[in-house]
Amino acid sequence: MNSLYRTMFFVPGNAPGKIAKAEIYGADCLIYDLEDAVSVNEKDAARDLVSSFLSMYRPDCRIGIRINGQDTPYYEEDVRAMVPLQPDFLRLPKSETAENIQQLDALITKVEQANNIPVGTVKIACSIETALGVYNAYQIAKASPRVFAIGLGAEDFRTDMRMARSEDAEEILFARNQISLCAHAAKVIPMDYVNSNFKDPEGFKKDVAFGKMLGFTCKSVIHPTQIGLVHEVYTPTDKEIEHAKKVVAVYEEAMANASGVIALDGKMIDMPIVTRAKDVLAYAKAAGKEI
Amino acid sequence: MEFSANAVRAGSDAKHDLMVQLELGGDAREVEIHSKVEKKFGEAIQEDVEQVLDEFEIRGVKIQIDDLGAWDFAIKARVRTAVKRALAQKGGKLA
Amino acid sequence: MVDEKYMEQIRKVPGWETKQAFSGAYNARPEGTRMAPRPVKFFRPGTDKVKSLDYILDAIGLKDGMTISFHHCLRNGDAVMLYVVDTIAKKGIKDLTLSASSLSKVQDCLLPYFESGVITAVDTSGARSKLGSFIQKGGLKKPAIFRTHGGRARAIETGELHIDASFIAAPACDRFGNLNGVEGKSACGSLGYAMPDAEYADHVIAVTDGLSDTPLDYVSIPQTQVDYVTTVDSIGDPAGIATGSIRVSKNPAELLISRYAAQVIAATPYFHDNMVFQFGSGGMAIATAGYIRQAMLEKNYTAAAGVGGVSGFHVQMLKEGLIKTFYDPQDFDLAAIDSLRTDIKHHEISASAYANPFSACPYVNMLDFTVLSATEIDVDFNVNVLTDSYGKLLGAPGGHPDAAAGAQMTLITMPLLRGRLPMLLDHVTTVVTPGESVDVLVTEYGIAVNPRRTDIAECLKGKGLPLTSIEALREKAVMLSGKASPLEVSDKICGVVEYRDGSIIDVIHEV
Repeated sequence: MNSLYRTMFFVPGNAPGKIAKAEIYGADCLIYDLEDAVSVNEKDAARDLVSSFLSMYRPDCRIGIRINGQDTPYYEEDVRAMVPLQPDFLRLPKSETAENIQQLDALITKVEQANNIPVGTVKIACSIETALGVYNAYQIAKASPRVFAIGLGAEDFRTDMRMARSEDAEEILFARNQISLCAHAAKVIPMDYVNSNFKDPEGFKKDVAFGKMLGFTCKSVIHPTQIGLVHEVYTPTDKEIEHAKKVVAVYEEAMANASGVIALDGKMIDMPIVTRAKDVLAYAKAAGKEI
Repeated sequence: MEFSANAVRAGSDAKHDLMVQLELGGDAREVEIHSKVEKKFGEAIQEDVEQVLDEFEIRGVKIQIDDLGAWDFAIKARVRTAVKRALAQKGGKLA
Repeated sequence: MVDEKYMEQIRKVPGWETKQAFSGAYNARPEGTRMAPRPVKFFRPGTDKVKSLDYILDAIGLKDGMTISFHHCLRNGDAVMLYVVDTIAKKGIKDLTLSASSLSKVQDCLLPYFESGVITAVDTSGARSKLGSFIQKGGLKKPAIFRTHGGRARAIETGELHIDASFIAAPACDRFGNLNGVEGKSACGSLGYAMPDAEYADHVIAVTDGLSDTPLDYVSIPQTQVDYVTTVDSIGDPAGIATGSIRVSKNPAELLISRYAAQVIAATPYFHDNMVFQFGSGGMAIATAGYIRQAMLEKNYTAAAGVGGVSGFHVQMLKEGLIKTFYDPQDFDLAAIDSLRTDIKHHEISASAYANPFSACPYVNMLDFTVLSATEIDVDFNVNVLTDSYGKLLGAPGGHPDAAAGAQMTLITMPLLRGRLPMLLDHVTTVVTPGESVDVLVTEYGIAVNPRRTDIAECLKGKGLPLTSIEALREKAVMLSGKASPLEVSDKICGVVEYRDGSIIDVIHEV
């Protein structure tokens, strides 16, 4: 199990077959979906199914639950039923304002307390799906210490913005940039939008690579074949790994010898570079590469 | 098994799922199980059903399971859902 | 593996007094120094071999208690077995032993002849559906024998299986008795499974719907072995004979398993330029072959040879030059049949050449690696391909134990569970391929290497593969599937599973 969150794999919360098998594909995180994947008649059934599964089995990866939005009658019961299972986080759709997040925070706290769970255990991932949400992205990210990730819900965002969908997702470029920027500014994880294309691996990879270029370190996925592709894109090259090893070695030597300035090949190495190098090695390790 | 119009259902006929039909009432637990894996897992399915009925302290119920190779977690979940739906229908307390 | 009490029952069957229990994948040795004698034939020049089936049955003196044989190269489209058995039955002949290289669902049509006692014993590779059920109700006079392809050839050539009359369905046949499987409206491809019968049966009869008035150019089985020829309107249904191209599996879990399998292979020294391999013909095997093909292209490797059953995918690799030559005992689709007929690098080989362990070297011994499937496997790596988890007949050993024994590295690709049923057990329901010859199990939940193969385990370290132990996989299977009730198994046996060397490796119980 790693904490890289390269992939968040959505698993329909009312499909026992999919729930049972989801872990085999090696996603860093599984998100059991009580929202869009579940019809209104089956919200109760999905809650029971996911609870039952997670109380009997715990896949060896990060676990998230996408609960229903605060404007639905299912929201509260979702939180009450899921928090006791201690998933790593709840994912809140339609996160628009800091108040949305603070409300959720307070509710989670209540449920944690009622169940003797240390307050703060369950984190929040914010799915931003409206113009207002994108505008407020930084406030949303800073709204609570529970928030560890924010991401773009492209479908609903396009609807809110009256946008037509284009093949290369040009229309959501600004929103993607904004989410990535605000996430990094708030020091939370930026989650890239769901690209439902799983029939064109090359096209999909291009999209993931573009997102990586924009600063995204996480991609929400909806089909098993997408997982490996995302990991490929996020896996550092051998060259990058070699360089990262050198940086870390130089840093550790400098620490050991308590020398002042750390330099590699004539260039100064400051902390962000060291952190980044350590990240690279963590990604390499997760991809099964020898380091 | 015969059910009245009041019976509730839970689950589906998808692979790895099961269909539960349930009607509260009577003094005894009548459980009917249909499953392709009956020979190997019939007993395990029965146990799952009994466990959930115990959870809700249900004494009188008619329940039919049409199983398509569901694992224990799904069997327990679907029976739980059916019981809760039946209790909600009755206006009874939800677990 | 086989309880002594069953061996006692088995040795009571006339002709089986000296049957031994399985004692190791490579332990048995042939008895004696000579093969069984082959029949001497005589043919007066100018005689016409082409006769009616009735005439032929009289001429060869077919009578009660004899053994008749057929090949299964027409697969689910075969119409010859029914035609011949029906004609024989009409003459009032009964109590026959049916020796088929395998039996498919289409042979359910033979059930009435089993029930009425025309056929009272069977040896085959597989049995399924209604015939399988009949056998498992104890309908035969003696237990059925289930053999591997190599084992059947061995039994014929050592004389253990004596065939009185072999009826060879021939898509193309000339008036002299030369026949092939690659021409004609009912073409089926390689007739490898018919070749041992053609060489050793007392009487060999070609049954054809493609009689040629001129001598055949392509000869699979020569006129010197064929005693009679008889014609019919149709030897079978082309749709059942040659399937459309087998498509790669699209199931994500199966693709995952296939990818792991390819990664395992590529990490070992068995993946090298000029390697020799065998892939099964199911969707998962083709998917694995696809990943291996990519790896070959990346490393600029070619395979010196492919061995085993052929389908369109193998043909494509042959045409691309990724496989240099192919040794083929069976073809599955039209592309394969076409290739066998036209490509000089595509060779038809007999079942004996392919897999008979009692030869100077069967072709399976050339294999660097093979990728096979299974119905079940156990913690000792024993494999079942013959029955399901309830002991019901549904498959066949086929060439599985042969390829597993011959290959340097044997991989089994298999889902850990099928539905709720665990496929990895403490003990398989029926042992067909001994664990000694199985090296790696690849499932969607992880990869386990047979502890005997520390060399393979070493190669797989540090490659980012989900390596685990067979015990851990078994625990996972139990955890996921839940508590299983033990199966009640009848004490009465209705079949024996013969290992390729003639020893008995397991039994089939009545169900």
